[in-house]
Amino acid sequence: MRGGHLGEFEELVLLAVHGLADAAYGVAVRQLLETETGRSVSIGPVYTALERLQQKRLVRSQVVAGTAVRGGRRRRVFALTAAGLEALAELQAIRARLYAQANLRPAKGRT
Amino acid sequence: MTASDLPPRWLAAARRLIGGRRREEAEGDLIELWHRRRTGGRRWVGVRFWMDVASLAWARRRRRAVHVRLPSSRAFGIGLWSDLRFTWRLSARQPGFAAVVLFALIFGIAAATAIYTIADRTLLAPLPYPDPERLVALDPLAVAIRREADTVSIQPADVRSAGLFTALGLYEPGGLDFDAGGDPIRLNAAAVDSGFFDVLAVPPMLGRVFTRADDRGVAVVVLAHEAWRRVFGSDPSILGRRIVLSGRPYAVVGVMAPDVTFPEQPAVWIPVGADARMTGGGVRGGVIGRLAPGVSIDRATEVLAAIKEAAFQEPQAGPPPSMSPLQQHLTAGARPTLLFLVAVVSLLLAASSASVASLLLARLGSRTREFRVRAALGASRARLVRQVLIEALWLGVVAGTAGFVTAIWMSRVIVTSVPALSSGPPGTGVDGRAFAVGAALSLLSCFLFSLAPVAGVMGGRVAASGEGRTATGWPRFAPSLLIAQMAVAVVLLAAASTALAIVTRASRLDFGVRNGSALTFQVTLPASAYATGNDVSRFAGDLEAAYRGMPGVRAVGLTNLLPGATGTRRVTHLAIAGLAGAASAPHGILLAATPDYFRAMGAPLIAGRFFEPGDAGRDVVILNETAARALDPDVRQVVRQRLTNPDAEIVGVVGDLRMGVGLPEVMDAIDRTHIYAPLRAHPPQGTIGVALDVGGDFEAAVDVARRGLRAVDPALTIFDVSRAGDLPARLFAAERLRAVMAGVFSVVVIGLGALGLYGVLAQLVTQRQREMGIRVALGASRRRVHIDVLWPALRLVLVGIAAGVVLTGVGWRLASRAVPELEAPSAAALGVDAIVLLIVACLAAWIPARRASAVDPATALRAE
Repeated sequence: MRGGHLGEFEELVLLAVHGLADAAYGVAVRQLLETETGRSVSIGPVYTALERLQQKRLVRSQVVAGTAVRGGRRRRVFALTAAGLEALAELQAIRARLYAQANLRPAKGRT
Repeated sequence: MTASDLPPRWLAAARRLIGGRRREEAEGDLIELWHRRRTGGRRWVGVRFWMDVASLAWARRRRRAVHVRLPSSRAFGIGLWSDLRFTWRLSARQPGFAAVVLFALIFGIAAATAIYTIADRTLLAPLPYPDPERLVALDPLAVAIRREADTVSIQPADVRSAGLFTALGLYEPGGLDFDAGGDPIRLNAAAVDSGFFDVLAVPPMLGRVFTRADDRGVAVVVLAHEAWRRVFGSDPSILGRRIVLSGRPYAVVGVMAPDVTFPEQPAVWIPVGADARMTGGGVRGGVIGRLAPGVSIDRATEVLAAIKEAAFQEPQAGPPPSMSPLQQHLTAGARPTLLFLVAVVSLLLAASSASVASLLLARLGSRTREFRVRAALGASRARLVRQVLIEALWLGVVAGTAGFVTAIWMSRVIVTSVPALSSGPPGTGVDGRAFAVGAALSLLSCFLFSLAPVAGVMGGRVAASGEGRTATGWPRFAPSLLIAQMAVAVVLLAAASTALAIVTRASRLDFGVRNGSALTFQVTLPASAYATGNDVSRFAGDLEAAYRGMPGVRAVGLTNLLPGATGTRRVTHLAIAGLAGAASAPHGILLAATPDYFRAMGAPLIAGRFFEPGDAGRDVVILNETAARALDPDVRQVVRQRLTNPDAEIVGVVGDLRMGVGLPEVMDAIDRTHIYAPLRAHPPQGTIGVALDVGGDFEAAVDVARRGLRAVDPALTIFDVSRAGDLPARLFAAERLRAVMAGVFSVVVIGLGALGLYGVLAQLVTQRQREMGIRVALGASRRRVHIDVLWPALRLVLVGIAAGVVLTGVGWRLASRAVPELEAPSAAALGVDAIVLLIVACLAAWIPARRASAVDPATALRAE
């Protein structure tokens, strides 16, 4: 896998960027993660993760004009690169294989 | 849709807080988030806004910290707080370590500051007079002082006119009783002539100094600033007031400037000749001069010798004229002790710095690992250096503050225990420069050696162990630090044992005082009330009678000169009438005593009898043992013989009461040979010494002494009050201080050295735990492992001791050039020191060695 290890939060952000398609910018990603995971997400870490993903060349960004709700400020829209897509696919495959082998009933005895 | 009700000021503040390149994007996010929350009806929108700001700022900061290339000045503030917290956690986790390092730093800083301060003030600081380098002290024997009637002058008269000096002045230190209305107060005083103040060239703060007209013993007085403040409550209208000093009224004409404390911190200056008895009958004055500009001491001495020879028209009988810089003259007594203390404290400072360094290096292993991990996680070099800097700074602030406070206390203790070491008034804080030297040295070593672990990760590369390091992971120079500490410990121990040997010998000196609890003090009888010998004699009788009548008094005796007191000694020939060879008879000093003096002091009767009340009218003397032995080895034979001068019968022989301060080998034989005459028949000039054997504690005894004197003459005071048994302590205070300081310092250095050794070995054992475990598992005996740990340590100690012995020899050679009378350290003492050190080192090494051999193989192998 290119870019090395992906953290859990990075993975979620990557998925969100993919899911938001053309509208993936900081606040939108945060919004999506908050509604989907049900946990409170701060805007700072979202950007940290996005920067890291960009550094790993899994996403790319493009500055576009802002909307009125942003007071006209420009925003950066993120999109997956080919490597990003590949990474997601690979992760999904790994997950699938592991889930297939896992016994999801509660384990007996001590872990 | 508008940008809602977000206050523009908030947005501006947020922009400043976040900064960075993508400010616009962050602003847009903040506005959008605000708006969404508002429309979503969320509460705490303001609070959430600032949480967003913080989160964005944090994220950008983190991004920067992750890929720091070069530390910019702005980046330096980042993470400061966490560094500080880390430092605190580190020292809290190892409180023992922090305590030892702090102790070493504090002790080193405090001792160095205190002693450098005293040495600087006494030896180096210029005297507080204009052009102090022009001030000289002249040998009073070389410049004859002539007394005529009331006037005193310097002879030959040409000295003044030779153009060598712009001023010459006489002074005689002494004491006067100040009649303050109630009990009289004893004041330090100095009799000086009008030239004296011209030499010092400091104008008075109030009024005037003495003029030529005052030189005939006119009853005027100049007050010292301190006395004016303390005794007269800084009374601004003091000028013209009459004060009574030793029975004579004087007019106050001036108050001196605060810094003038010459000679011997007098409270008052009176004209020479104003009180013939203020010096206690002895003349121990001196002459000071202010050299004319451009005249050197050597040239002045030469010209003076020529003048003297011409004036007296004879080969010089006395010593040739000599003079020395006034500063040197004032500090001559304190110089050897101060130089000694400076030397030992410098050693202490070096050793404490070395021990801090070696303690820090002992931690090197764990620190290096920590720093490598941090470097691997992306910490920049600057960040690691800063961590070290903060740790050093933390130590510096704590140790510096505590050291400063301790230094003030320490210098006060030193100066009060030996006032002679300080030229000025005792203990006014410590010197900033001295503190800076001590603090800088110890903290610099602290910082430099803290850096060692950083060196391990220098250049961003994770250094492989090997180059520049021993197998244990600490630098090759670490053992030399331990060796240096051991060497310094040996030198300090040698200094301490030499100083201690002097004190021991001094304490073995027999002062002859068998009744150590006897109170001794002096009384000066003013010429105004006690003009004749008869007056003094009557006073002596009255005083003895007064004390005898008081409860608790077992014996009271009077003398002209108490042991240890300064005063004139009358020297006489010790010749027995009708015996041949009287001309070659030994000399001795003639003293006076009342019948009970020997009993009060506890001097034993060896032959014959003590004086009796009826002896006052008879020509009888008592010899001390030394004097009697000089006449006849069988001292009993001298009793009932007659001396020629004074023409008197020897009625008894008493044990020696040592008068002087010198050690036996340097003490003049004359000074030890005593001939006592009855005091009533030979009344002393002015000052009487009293020995009072009275029960009770010191305060009670002093009270008895005061009350008895008050009953006879309420205008008189007692002074120089002490226990007869305290004399050795008083005489050898400086020597004792040297021994105590050197002793304490060497104990500290040995202790720190032992801790350092322990620390290094403990570290070593921890690092080699695995190896030890394997060896034990493979069948190595515990003894073998033991020796393996002990031997390298002992080798270091042995090398250190050898180096110390060599250093002691070299140091002594060098020091004895500066101070010729320095004692050589004895080989036996050095041997004992070495053994002591070796034992301590063995103990320090023993504990880790035991731990090493007690390693459980299984545990050792499982570790890591």
